[in-house]
Amino acid sequence: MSQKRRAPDSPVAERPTPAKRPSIQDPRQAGQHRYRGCSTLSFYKRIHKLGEGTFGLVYKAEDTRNGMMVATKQFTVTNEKEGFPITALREIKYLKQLRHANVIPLLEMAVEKPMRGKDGQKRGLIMMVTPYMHHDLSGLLENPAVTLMEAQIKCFMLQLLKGIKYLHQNNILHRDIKAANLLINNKGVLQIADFGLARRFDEPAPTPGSGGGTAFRQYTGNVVTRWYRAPELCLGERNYTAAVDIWGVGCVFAEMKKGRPILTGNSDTHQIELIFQLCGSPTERNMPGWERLPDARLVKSFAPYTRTLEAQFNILGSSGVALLSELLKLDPRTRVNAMDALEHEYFRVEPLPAKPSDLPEFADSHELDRRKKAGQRPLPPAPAGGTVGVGPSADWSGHPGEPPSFHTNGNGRHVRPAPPPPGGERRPAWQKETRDVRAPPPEGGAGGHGHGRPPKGGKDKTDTYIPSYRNDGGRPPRDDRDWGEDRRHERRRDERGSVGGQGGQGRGGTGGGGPGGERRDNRDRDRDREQRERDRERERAREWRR
Amino acid sequence: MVSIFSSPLATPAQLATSPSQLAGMPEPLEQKLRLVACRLLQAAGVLMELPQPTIATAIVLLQRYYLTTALQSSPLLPTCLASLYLACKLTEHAQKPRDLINIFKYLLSPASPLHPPHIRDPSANGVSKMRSNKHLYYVSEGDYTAIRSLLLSTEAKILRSLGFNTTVQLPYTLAFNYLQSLGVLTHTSEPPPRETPAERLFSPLQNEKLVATTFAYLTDLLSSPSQVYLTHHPHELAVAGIYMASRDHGVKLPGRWWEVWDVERETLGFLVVVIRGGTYIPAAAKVWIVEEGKFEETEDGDVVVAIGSESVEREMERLRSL
Repeated sequence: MSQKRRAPDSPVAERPTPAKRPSIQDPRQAGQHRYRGCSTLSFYKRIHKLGEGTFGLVYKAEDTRNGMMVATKQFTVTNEKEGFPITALREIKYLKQLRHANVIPLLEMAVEKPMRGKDGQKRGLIMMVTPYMHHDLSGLLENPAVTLMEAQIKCFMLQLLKGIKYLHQNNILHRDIKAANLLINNKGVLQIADFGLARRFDEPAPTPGSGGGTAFRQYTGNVVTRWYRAPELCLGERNYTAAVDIWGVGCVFAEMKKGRPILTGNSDTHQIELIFQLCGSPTERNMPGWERLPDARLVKSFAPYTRTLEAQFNILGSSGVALLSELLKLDPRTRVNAMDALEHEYFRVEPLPAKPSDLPEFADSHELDRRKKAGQRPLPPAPAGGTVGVGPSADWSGHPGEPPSFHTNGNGRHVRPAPPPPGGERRPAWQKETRDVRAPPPEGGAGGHGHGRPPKGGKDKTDTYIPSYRNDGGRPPRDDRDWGEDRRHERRRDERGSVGGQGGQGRGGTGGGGPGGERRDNRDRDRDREQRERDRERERAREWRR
Repeated sequence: MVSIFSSPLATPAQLATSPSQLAGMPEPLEQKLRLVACRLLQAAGVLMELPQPTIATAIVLLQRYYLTTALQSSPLLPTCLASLYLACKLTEHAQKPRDLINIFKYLLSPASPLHPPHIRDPSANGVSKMRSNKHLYYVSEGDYTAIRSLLLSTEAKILRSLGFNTTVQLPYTLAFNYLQSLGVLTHTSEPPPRETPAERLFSPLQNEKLVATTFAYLTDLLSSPSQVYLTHHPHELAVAGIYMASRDHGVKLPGRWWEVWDVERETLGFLVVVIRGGTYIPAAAKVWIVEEGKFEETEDGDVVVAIGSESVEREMERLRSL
């Protein structure tokens, strides 16, 4: 009986079915047992770069042992401060546990012995190997040769929801659902990838009919790429639930129909504003308890908005709009969960969902390629995975292309360079600064330390705003002070606040920032929020110590 | 589905030929060192107020790791540090290396309750009385940096040799669930109308004890020399813990109840023998731990184990010359 019980991929060398599989022994050293699931880098031949994951570069590669095309996501590990990054540990652990047609499988890990780099630091290279997927949804939507039919959209939505349902049933929050993280192969199979921000949640998994459920504990608020961030996250909710992933699904759904991201806020404040422009201003009826959320005050500064979702998305048809409004519900408690969404009428009316195998093949399209052809792009790229570190407080730091290195090993070494800014020539000065988040804020920057007026328009990219609280310290945060993952995020948020500075707002000028006076109000507001944020952090630190 | 019922298991071949023994370490010494590692991890975990799952994860990772790597090539202390550090991260209770290093320094210092009382005096340990003994209690900055880098590189080694399979399924939750479904934990707020002797057994207090005893057996099993956490699935361990605890407390369970959870009688019997068998060292004996020093056994049967690699080396020499 117990023999049958064993996991199919029992990672210790082998199952005791002796005849079939002898103990895996290192041929060089008899008797040295080796575990399965780990090989060396030399087995893989790099072909070209595919993109940038949360903490490293992603390459298309060939497994020289069997000629299989794979994607390798690599990150370097140094032994400086924290050892193996906890986000990577989580990602690997979850991917190893999960097994579902719509979740990317982890084929194996490949490692390279640590070598001494130029600076004498030992660093090893570690790669996660996953199957090669031809597209990511973001790249696919950008591909001018591709127009998704209604049936195809339904097919992708079904797969996405099945994957999400599986994750949530296993008590895992993905926390970075976005089009660029949904991989699609030429057989039409969609798989959820990039678990760099995923983590377990302690609450019971959502059950049919119960919406998003309720949260009992606090998690870090620095999750989900801004454009896909749920309203409760934008308002600083930390007791969030699986419903944050569902909001992302809603955004992706609408994006598939429109062909481009729908809520492209260029700062966190702007993001909330866009959400409420779409869904209407929050009331006790459509979002009970919203006023008690930490950043609810922000909303009051907006004009009351009336709901435009139905009007904007009538192209989806009545059942499509119904599903979208279920997915994009302001109230996380009543927002539909993945199980119920799968049962939605939308998937049962004509045109019926296509079968994955019926989908046509397209030329490989990845988000990165899209960025290369930035000239053709009407919009800036979605904030990369790492930008999720932008906390709800850092609403002045709208830097979409920021390197995701906030999720590196926490020693300030960045595995991944800043992605090329859209349009190339628009690379703002602050983006270079962000290459080292540990660096103190660029105080010498033009613009006068936050006292001068922020520049108008998107052309001036220098850092102009340094939040007041940074002035008393000014030193880069110490590394050995961060203990927990969540705390680290907190601190990063601070850094972002200062390093990013007004650059984001400057950019925002092109996308609908207000006149200077209004911005100053924003700044005061930000400072208030910052104060509150600091208090909260202290509280959390205390809690953490307990 | 994420399975909570199965863990990666070691094979008989792996257990029979441990790398340490292949590299020339006598089995009794290996057993002693492994036991000491479990004690150290458990003590450090308790001092750091870590939850038991974190400690158990650390111990299981360490045991798995030593199935792939010899004790000689990966000294005990950094490995303990690294496995606990890794387990903390894996169970979302991240700790700073500094705290871990300090705690282990304390546990190996003469002030520690694990330190043998009869060699409290450092001079008896080969250290000159003239020298300041603050190094016994205090981690200097240089030492700290060195130990930390050793810790982190050992962490990477552990991850690599385990093939990044860091999932450790523990029997504690299962045991609790099983106890609940056996109905021995349910109790109403009102006392039962007619109290029969059988019903008195189900008083809340007794059941609390039942859970505690079950968990205690499961924790004891962590340091058993048979390394059953590497050879048995969590549900089997949980059933064995419940079986022992229910016998201790005289709680009557339905006949052949273990079959409900797919545990065979033989498996259960084996685990009971393991639990009864205790540790390699006689149960009554105390195990004292020092960092560097002599391995010895006192008249009372107490055992002193030194975990420093030099001491281990010397002990191996001694055993070989016997």
